[in-house]
This record gives sequence, C-alpha cells and structure tokens, in this order.
Amino acid sequence: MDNMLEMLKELTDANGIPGNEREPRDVMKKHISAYADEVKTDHLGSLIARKQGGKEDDPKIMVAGHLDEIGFMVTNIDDRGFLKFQCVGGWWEQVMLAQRVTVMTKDGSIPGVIGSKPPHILAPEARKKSVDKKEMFIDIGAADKEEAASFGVRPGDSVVPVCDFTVMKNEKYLMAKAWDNRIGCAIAVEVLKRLENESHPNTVYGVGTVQEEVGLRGAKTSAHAIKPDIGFGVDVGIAGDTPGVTEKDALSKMGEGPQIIMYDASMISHKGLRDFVTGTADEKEIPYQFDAVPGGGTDSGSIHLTADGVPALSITIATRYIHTHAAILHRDDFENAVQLIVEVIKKLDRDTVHTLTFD
Amino acid sequence: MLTTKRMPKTMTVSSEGINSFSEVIEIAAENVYTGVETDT
Repeated sequence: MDNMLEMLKELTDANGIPGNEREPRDVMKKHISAYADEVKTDHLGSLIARKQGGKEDDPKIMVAGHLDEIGFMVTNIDDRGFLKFQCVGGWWEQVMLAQRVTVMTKDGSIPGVIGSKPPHILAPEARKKSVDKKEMFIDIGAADKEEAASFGVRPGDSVVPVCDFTVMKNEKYLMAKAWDNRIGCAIAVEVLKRLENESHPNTVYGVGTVQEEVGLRGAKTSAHAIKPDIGFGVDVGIAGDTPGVTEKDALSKMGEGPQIIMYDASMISHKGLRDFVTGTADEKEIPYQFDAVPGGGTDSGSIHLTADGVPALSITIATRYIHTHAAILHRDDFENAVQLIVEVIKKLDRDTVHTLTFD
Repeated sequence: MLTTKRMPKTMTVSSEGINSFSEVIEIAAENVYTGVETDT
C-alpha cells in the first residue's frame, strides 16, 4: 500500500460522528501539519491549517472537507442490554438493518450489530415494508442492562459503521466507510502538500470541518474565523453509474473526473468562480463533470454566506453508496480533483479574485 | 454531503440540463439543515 493509500486508510478507518470528530481530526492534523505554517481548531473543533502567502493581504483560499461521518448516538440502554439510538445524519432504513457497528465508550470501543427480526416470524405484509428506525436497536452481546453498563456504555456514546478500508481487485476502486467525507479531508491535505513548492500569491487554508452532516455547522464557524475570499467545499457526490440509476437521477460516472456542482439544496455555485475553474480544467486538460444535487448540500452552503458573501464552489467525487456502511470511489477522481484545485490556486491572485467576484 | 429532508417533487437534472430550477430554490428555503432526525 503506497503512502497515499495509507493516508486514505487512516482517515476512513478513524471514527467520528458529528460532535465527536477527535479521531479523524488527529489523523488529518498528523498529515497536514508538515505543509502548514499554523494548525489550530476553532471553538467547535474544526481543524484549520494555514499556509501563509507572501503578503498579509494575499487572497485567502479555503479548501474544506468535513471530518464527521454519519452515525448514531446511544440514547438509552433497555433492561435486556439492548441500545436504543438516535440517527446523527441522514440514514435510510433500508441500509441499516443487520449492519455491524462500533460503539465508542469511555472504556474503549466495543462491537455491535443493528438487530433485526428474521423473516420467518414476520407476517407477509411486514415482509414487504422496511422497518422503522424507531423499532431498531443495537445488540452489543450484553446479558442485561447492568452488563451493558459494565462495558462502559452510556447515553451519548457515539456509534459508527464498520467497514475496513479496502483496495478492490481493480486497484483504482476503493471501498470504505466514511468516504463522506474523509476524501474531502484528504483533498485538503494533498492540495497544501502539492502547493508547498509552487509560487503563488495566496494564503491557503486546508480545513476539516465538524458537524457538516447535521447542518453545515462547522463550516459556518470556521469560515467566520478565516473570512475567505474564495471557498471550495470538497466532498463526495452521487455516482450515477449503477444499475437502475438513469441520467434523470444522476449524471456522473466514477473515473470521469471531479464533479462541478452547479447547484444543490444549500447553494447556487458562483458563476464567476465556476467558469474560472472549468476554464482552468479545459486549459490543463483535467477531466470534470457537471452535476447538481437537489436533495443534498455541502459545506459550501455555509461558506458562501459568510460575512459579505464568499464566491464558492463544491468540487465533489462521484461516489457509489454514500450514506451507507460501504461506499466506493475511484482514485483517479481524487487525483484529478487535487490537481484541478492546485492549478486554480496557482492562477489566482488579488486582481483575479476581484475580477471573478465582481465582474 | 448533507441529506435534506425531502426531495423536490420531480427530479431536476436531465441530460439537457436543468429543468425545474425554481422548485429547487423553493425546496432549499424550506428544508436545508435537517440532518438530525428527532423522531427516532
């Protein structure tokens, strides 16, 4: 496994639901610190790594991935030792039942599974329906409430999906939990790394935000702290290349370049910035795809509303099976997203930022 | 990527491009930032 894959493995294997992003933050900090002049966190926990430009008033470019992954929170332990839970982030019942999870307790992590009834005892009508989340529970193999408590489990504990980072037979295809959005964190790290020896008049911020999956919250506070001139939300997007998905549902295909998001439910991308980015991609012959996500949003949705407004664009990676335990993306899309953002930043300066913002 | 509470009534993208843009804006104003589901 090469160094890049090692970093991706560390990032995706780290566990961190919204509000408890310590593990992935530590991993991102480890990888980005060598390429930044300063690394700090804001008061909610978002990681902000700054690479200072030559002058104090150089444009500030924010490249933000989010640290949190969707998961669950323990709300109660019943008398038989089963855990009731709250979904934290957007979960769909169809992908939850019988899935392995990790419960993060004060005494360490313990394994569990989201319990389900066998079909043998279900009425015919019940077999046709998905089970309501309210009826689900987590089985940690405890005999009763007292034993569960003795394992260290308490209300408020985080619960995360289980899926080890896996390089598939075609080694361009990478499967993991939490691609949403550790791939964005990896892009932020790589952008700072590859700009290290480049000459450009910008201050670049590689940011790992918290609590994106519950409302783009860390992006709001970290963007307030930075007050960027330009913002890039880097995240996963929808891959429309699986059976049953048509072009009416999703346009993109894995391996055909990063997605340029025209609009989503949180933002209409800034036309000047969008045109600048796609023009750069055309010039440098970097592949890209246009897409839109009417049922989702990214950190750009918060960033672009900061202070007087920030030209922002979401650049995403077409990913299969997001918001499940096991998602798949294509390594080339990651590489091309990094290259595109690097080339864009190399072309930006104060005059260019002013022009694309106001013309 | 944040999931919003509900999708627009019709899909908004075709191979020709955007075909129900106003609806997206309307929906976004209603329901962004609904990641925590309080009914569980």
